[in-house]
Amino acid sequence: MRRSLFYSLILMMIFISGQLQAALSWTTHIPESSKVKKAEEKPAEHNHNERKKGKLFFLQDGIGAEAEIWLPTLERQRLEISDTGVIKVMATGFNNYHLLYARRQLEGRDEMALRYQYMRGKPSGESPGLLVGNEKGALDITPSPLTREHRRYQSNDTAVFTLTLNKEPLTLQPVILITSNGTEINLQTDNKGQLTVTLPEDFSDIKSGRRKNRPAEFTLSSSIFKNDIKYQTTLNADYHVNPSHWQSRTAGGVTIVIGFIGGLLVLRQVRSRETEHA
Amino acid sequence: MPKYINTSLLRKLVQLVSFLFLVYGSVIVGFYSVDKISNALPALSCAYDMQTADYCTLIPLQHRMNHGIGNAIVAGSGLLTALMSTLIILGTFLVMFVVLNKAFCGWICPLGFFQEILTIIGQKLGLQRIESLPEKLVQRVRPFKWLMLAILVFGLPLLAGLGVASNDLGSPFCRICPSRILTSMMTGDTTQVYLDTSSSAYFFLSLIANLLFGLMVAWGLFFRQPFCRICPMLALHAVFKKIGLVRLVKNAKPRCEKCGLCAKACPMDIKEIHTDMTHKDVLFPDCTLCGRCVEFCPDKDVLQMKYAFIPIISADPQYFKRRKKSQTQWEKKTLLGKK
Repeated sequence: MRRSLFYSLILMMIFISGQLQAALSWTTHIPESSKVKKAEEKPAEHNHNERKKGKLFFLQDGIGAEAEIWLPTLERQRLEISDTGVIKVMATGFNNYHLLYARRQLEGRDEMALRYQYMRGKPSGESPGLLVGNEKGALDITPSPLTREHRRYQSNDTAVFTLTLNKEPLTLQPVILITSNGTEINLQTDNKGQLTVTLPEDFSDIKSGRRKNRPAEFTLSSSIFKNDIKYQTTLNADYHVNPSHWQSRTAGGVTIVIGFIGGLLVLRQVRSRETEHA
Repeated sequence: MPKYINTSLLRKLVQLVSFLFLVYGSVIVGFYSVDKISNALPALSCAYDMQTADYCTLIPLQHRMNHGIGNAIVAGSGLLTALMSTLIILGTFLVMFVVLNKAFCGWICPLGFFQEILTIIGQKLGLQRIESLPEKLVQRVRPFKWLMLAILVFGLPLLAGLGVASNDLGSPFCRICPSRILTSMMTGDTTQVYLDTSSSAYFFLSLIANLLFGLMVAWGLFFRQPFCRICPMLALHAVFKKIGLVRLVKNAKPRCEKCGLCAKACPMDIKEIHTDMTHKDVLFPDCTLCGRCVEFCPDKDVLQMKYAFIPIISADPQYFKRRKKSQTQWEKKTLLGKK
């Protein structure tokens, strides 16, 4: 009772201040002040120990929120939030996208944080479309589509999202894009409620090769007032360095042409030898 | 069958529909991997194509060798699970393969269709075609498909999973496959045309991929099915061809010895269709069940394509005359005028 009163007071102070600097959102970046040791993250490699050790997430501004993991089958499992806001997510045993879902509903506020997380396990048999299409809350930010399995969001690449309020597209809705590399961009949905985002090219110290570059995170955040309730939703995801930094399309095209010309030359050589023999 | 329809035309139509469906079919089946038809298709339909309707079986086989079996051996556990998942992939492949046997190559594969279109383009441009490759060359090239299957689909991915080879060699066949470049380009995606400088393995593989694609296009204008001759899918089909329901059967007659039109018609230069006078089953490892040998056989029922025991296409003298006439007329007309 005392704890919830304490949390309510904290939230009221933040609400009265008029500006929520850190909205309820998921992140894999655990603050140094956390008591839980951050897991050693190898940059962009397949982490096969994920299943046994679990993966750590931090729920920013998560006081008073409830967290769940939604399986590809739409089954929901409650997640324990530690005192420091760190959440350990164990493998569910199912393959494919899961949804990390956090919600905080107070008087006059309805906040939601979403993150689609790919996990390994046995095939669930369900399409990610089921998870993406399922109703989560009033204000929803939906990837349209979610990146296909083994594909990724990457810098300087376009991603499309749909914003809806009670399943109705939100047209001309302001959205803020914030990246862990420090970029902040104000965006707006179009007249169909779709948001087309070009993820910023804001990685520094880029190394050659996907595995050598740790992914960053982007968060899409939007809020709207309706019927005296402020709805705020964030969607968080990893994005990677665009492989164009070490993959040259021009050189690729040139080598195809070289192969083509080489093929013609070889044929010409073969034909001239046959003519000589004849 | 109406006179203007022949087996080759019918096959082209089936190939065209298959091509369109496999390259663009996600609008029907769905976008995500689990939405696809099988994830183990016996034809080269590529997962790098964002709009594909299904993936070829060589993708999950490489993944299973690398991430499944290889990693399980290193970890000392989970080998049974890894083997089970590999067998499930092979089982799914076989369920589909049994239905059409090697006809997946000749009737369904998008890359096979593309090569046939290249041959038509070459012929219509009036380019001097090579009707049949020299027999010695054909014999030398034949082992390549087995090497591709053994090394690129199974060997290197397994070694990468064991930690013996670089992780960059986890899916080496996909890295060089021309279908990856072709099918993604067909959807307007040029991201698969690249030279990768991130590591020596990726550089080498991407270089091979691009050169191979260019070679295939060049040679495809002059002779038939250049890549099919070394395709590991052809080899994988050959392993299981005995269980497929579609068969190619020869009821040899003495006239066959002097004829040889079947071998001349064969796009894969399988001379054995003509020279083998003893075996009834003439579904050789290089065969794609295109049916051209049956079409161009002038003797009644000497060659037959059967579904189980039911003949679906049989050699027929009347059909042969009509077919030969239409082929001659087709080859006379080029974009530069009649030959």
